[in-house]
Amino acid sequence: MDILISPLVNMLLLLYGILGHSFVLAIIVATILIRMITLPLTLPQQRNSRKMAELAPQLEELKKKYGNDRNKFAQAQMELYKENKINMFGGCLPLILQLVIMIAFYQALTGSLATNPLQLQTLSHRVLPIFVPLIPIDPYFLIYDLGLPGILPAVEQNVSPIVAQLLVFILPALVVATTYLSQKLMTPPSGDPSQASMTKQMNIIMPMMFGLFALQFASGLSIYFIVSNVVGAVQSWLMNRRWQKKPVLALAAPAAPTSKASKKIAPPDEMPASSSKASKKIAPPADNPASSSKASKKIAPPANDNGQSNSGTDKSED
Amino acid sequence: MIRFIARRWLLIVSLVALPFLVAACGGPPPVTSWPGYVIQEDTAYLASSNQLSAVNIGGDTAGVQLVGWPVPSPNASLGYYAMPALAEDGKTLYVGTEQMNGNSGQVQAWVNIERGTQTAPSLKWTYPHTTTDYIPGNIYGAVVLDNGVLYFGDGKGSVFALNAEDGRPYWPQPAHTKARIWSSVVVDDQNVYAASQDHSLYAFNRRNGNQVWQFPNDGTNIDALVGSPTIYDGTVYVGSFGGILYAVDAASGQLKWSFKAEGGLWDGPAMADGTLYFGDQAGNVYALDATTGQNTKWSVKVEGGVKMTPLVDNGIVYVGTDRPRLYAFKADTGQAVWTEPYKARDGESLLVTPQVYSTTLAVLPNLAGANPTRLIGVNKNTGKELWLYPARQP
Repeated sequence: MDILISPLVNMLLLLYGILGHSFVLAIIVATILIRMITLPLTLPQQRNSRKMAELAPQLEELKKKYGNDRNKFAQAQMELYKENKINMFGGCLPLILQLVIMIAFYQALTGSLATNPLQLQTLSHRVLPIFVPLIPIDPYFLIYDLGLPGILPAVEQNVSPIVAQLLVFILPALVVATTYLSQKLMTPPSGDPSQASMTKQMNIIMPMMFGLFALQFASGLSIYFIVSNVVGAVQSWLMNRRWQKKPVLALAAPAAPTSKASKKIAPPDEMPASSSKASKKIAPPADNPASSSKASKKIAPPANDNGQSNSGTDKSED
Repeated sequence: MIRFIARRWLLIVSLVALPFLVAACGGPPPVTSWPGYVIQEDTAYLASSNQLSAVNIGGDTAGVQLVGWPVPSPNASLGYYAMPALAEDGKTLYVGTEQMNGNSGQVQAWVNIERGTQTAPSLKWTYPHTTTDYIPGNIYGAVVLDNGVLYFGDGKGSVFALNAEDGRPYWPQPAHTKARIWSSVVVDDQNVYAASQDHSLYAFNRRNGNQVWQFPNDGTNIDALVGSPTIYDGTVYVGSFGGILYAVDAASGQLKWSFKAEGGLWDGPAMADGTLYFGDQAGNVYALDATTGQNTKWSVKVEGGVKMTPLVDNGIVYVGTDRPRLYAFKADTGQAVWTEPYKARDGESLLVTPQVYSTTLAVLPNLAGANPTRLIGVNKNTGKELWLYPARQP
């Protein structure tokens, strides 16, 4: 972990020096830089989710076909994902790496601010000599000490307990709101009911968890969360707009033999082990309005929140 | 369905575990306490974490705790980070506190300190007394007792003076600097000197707290002053985080000389026979002429960085490092006295100046992890360990 923390500490100090000794600006710029650096990790993850959403109608068909036979459904689902190059576990590694970066950033943030002598002792081993004159860093931003949770004691003393509590909740509330927004934009609605239910729960649990972190940990971490979420939300919004015009599956496999793929859905036990052949047989049944022969040749649009197909995609395709 | 529920639970459990990961993983700090202690005859009074304790350091029962008493409830979030001070009669112990994960200090006065007693002392007073009194920052430096007045700085940059008898403010209002004070103040007949992290050394009138001077005052910028200054013969010595030792005239605040060390400096030097002894964080120990600051009498390399003010006793300089080793050098030549330095346990740091009782050096290491406060008795002539508090488990 030290291999990440020390460069982050020195990056924060460098930005602090450049940005007029404002640590909050240093955190904001560092967060944006981190988001840019980790873009190659987050973008494929987002693309993966989008692909899954775009395949929702096909999945729905598979579900109808296999009814309660979950094993056969799962096998057919895997084949469909494989055919469309969706890595079921593709989201894990970027998530773990982002988690590691978040932990390292938190350690770097509190370490740079060194809110007690022990932390300063550790900082003295990490900081490059050219940054020594910048120490100690001014940790104050509005009513916060960025290295500590809550608000400044001086502010707390001068307001009523209720107002103090309300002030304490400002940053966590912003964290909750931006996490929700970012999550909502990042995870496209899924046609798979279990997946959709999971997504719905995650969209509630994640903001709450991050809100809890914001209450417990240094307020500088809340700034990191907020900026990271806003950047993530903007990124998702831009990508969603782009993908609404040109769906990911179309971008990923423009020459994919979709006409062949839509011929027939074969039961998994009839399928040969080779996925390439098996996947060609997957097609929605003709009685489904969303999967007319024309629709099945095209990439199906993802369902929106109400489970309806996305008309925007249809328009763009037309 | 079972797999789905299991997956969901795994996710929720992982999320709950996340804050613990954030808190526990990675970097700082290898040590979790910076305890303080004061010695009176054969008893050491320790202040560490959320407990005060009296430990016997002499005779057959050296290393045995006489009594320990916790932070009085309901202040469970308070901890001890500062060096305590004993009243001249040895009956009252004064100590400052920190608020864990927060910022707010308190000074406590414990009475009925009796040598050898196993009865916990009782709390005579605490400051702040009322909700209108307020110490905005944690107290990390020593509470210094001088002529019945307690002087100390806080983590928000204020300097306080309290009447030791009843804990009431001695100055009309606290003195202020512009940044945190984590070090101990020093006091002479005229002033109280405080090193602030606003990159300045301050002198305040000891009777009323009015600022007398600020160093530097010519617009020059020096590095942060993190450690405690020391004062000898009308000169205040303070080291900077950037590695410069400043000798400042106590009366006028004018710079007498400065010395550039290889590494950053923490606590100020010790002085004996016109020579200053100090170490830096690059692992050097210096003996420097106190009058001019120009002639290095000797310097030696040690393993680990030095943050403590060395102890000079009977011509021997004792100095500890964060590695954690304790060295003994002849004050006049810098020659090692022991065959090898004393080595404390892995994960510990020696950051607090050792103290002498008879032929024993009492050494207080900072500890890694959640270990209890440790005190070590080291033979000052040989560097061998004599006893350990708490005693090693069989």
